[in-house]
Amino acid sequence: MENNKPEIPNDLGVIRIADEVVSTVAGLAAVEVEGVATMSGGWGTDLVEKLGKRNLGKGIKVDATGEQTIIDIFIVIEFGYAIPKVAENVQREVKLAVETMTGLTVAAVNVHVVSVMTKKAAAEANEGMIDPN
Amino acid sequence: MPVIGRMVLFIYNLIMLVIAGAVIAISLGWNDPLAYLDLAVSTPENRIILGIVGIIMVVLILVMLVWGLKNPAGTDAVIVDKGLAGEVSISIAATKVIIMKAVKQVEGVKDLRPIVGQTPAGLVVKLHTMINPEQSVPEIAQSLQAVVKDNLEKVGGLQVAEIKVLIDDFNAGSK
Repeated sequence: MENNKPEIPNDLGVIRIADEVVSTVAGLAAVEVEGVATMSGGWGTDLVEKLGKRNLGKGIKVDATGEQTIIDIFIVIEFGYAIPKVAENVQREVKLAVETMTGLTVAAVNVHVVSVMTKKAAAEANEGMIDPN
Repeated sequence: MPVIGRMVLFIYNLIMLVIAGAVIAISLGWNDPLAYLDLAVSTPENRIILGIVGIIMVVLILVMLVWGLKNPAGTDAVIVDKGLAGEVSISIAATKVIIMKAVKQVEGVKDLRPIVGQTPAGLVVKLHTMINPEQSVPEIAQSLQAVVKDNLEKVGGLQVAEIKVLIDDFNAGSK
């Protein structure tokens, strides 16, 4: 399985980037997009996060086998924003961030809008997370 | 949920129902379940069968736990856009939130329960509503249809095929 991971070869050897790194980069890029309230992991991830361990790659699934990378993002959008526009911005920003930071080729960024919430609810959800820094 | 997941859930619920029933029966003084339990552990063969049932239950519970932890919520979704950059989909739960927010703009609606389905032509929305009795049903139904269609198209970028409004009840307490 590990052999199918994309590699960046250079004179000194080969660089392999873990899926977790890609998902963290994608997650950070996605939450910065205006209109994205929060990322949506499973209830297990949410529970662990409530206990204090922040997961920056929450709600991101990375399929990095072969030459190209496919990223699935599960997001909650703030009410009032046009979902197709926000999703398009997420696709653009995530692709740009992942390609710039990792050098991988992103074939597709699939955005799954899991829910819609108000600004107030989004602020409360984000306050509930404990920042490790 | 995939078919296998639903099957596991069904078997699990069935087993839990039997256990719950037995516990309630014992607590009410009916001792037959205890007698069956005694019988079940009375011989080595029965103990083996009981052990196998226990192992099956543990496997079922573990499968459900892993399945619940692995899958992000709300994967039942409507595809909004499929392009070179990837796919954009909205979960049915999210479309219901959009509907609920939109309906707040319509006066006289006391309660609403949306059911959202999808066809090749677009979304089919059924709005089960409770309204104030002094409101005109055709007027409120038209307003609901217009506001829900508008919000789903503008906010969600979704294509709406049909919106059915069903007045389930009138709010008897309203003045």
